[in-house]
Amino acid sequence: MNFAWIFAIIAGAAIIFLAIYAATQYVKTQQYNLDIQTANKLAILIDPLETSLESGKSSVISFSSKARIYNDKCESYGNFGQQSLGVTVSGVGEWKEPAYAAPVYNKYIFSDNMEQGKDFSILLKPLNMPFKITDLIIFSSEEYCFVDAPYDVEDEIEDLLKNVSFVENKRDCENVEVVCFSRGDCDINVIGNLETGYVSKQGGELYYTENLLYAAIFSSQETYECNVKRLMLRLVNLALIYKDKVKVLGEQGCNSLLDVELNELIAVARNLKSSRDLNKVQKKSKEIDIINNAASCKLW
Amino acid sequence: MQIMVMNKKSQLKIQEMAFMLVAVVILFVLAGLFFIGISYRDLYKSANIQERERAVSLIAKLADTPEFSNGDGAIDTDKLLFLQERANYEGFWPVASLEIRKIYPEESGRKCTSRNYPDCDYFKIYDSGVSRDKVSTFVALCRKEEKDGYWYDKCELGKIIAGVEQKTENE
Repeated sequence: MNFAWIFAIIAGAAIIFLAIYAATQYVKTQQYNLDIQTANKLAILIDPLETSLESGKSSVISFSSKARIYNDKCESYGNFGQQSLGVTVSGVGEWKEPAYAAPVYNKYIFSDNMEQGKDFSILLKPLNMPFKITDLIIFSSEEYCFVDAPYDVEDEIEDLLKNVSFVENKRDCENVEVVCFSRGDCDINVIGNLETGYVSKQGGELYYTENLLYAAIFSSQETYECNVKRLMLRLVNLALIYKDKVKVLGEQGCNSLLDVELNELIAVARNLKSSRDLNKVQKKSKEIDIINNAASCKLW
Repeated sequence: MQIMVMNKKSQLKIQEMAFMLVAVVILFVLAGLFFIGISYRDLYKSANIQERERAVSLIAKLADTPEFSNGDGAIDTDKLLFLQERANYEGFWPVASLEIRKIYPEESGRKCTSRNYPDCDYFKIYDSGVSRDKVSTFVALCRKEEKDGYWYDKCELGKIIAGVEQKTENE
């Protein structure tokens, strides 16, 4: 074999290697690009989800192939905190690292750290403390079995979530996450009533008030606690807006008694360390709601 | 003498092959750059489309968000008056700018402040200064008014105008 052949083989091999490397990198980049676009589209789909006068809403987001949605990036500092969803769509071989969408500041998304499937059920529940703070966005791809659920829970979400079945006995649940509403040895135990209580899961306790019950059931501990803190940041900002509204209405002759009360609510919300303190916020917000309802010109 | 001629021939062939290889590599690089350029342009285009879609989907439901809502599907202008002065809301909604404008009855185009409210036309919630495209939707603007000892919601026709950032390759 002469030198020309050897040179041609080496150079040819180098070119082919570079071409294959470039093609692989390009496919990876395109896949990542697609995942980012999917994550952003997911954010676009979530954006218009807002309840108006209704007590709840539901929706389903479907992917053409199996996908994983990561909800493990939540921060509770700054003016409102932020959350970012990551998506990876199944392709050839193993699951890839997720691509994360731009952070959202105005949405509160509750789910496990990672949900996998083709169809994702979304439940929307408003959170009022005492005025509307936001809509809780709860999504899940897993099947759940609610054992001995109170009638109100069944009535509220039976038609909204198709991945939840309601049974009276734990034995009727097979290969699904079991949620018990009376003390029992289930995957998730709800201890309390519809107003207040805690959800025991994964060795931790997530305290809730009202609609946060659903968020606590379907959410991971870290996401739940982070979002509760973010909700308090939103509550503080909204309370400040209502304090301003007191001023506006006061100039028109409507004197509200809520200015001082709103300051107290802000203080309680700012002092929240974890979901365990939620009942203090709820107590104050109920007092405020009574005063507002009795006023001739209501703030909300 | 013959060996020297053979050597020169081989050298020439190697040179030819080296030039050929360089040319092939340059051709591939140029083709690759051309392809990447087109993909890059598409990326900007799809990013801008997504920004616009996001703004459209946001304003469709903005009247129901707690900062704006009066609880009945309309915008509460009593809240807007001071909301536009709150700097921490800048960037809270995923749009480049946000403005609420009264469109009926027509007035003089004055920005609302605590001095001229409610005899004014628009509220500028925030403006990051980067919007090149705008999307809008109609909405009811309501405020509390008192008549004969009763407080009621007085409503007018308005418009939410959201600015969309349009990214270009030169940025």
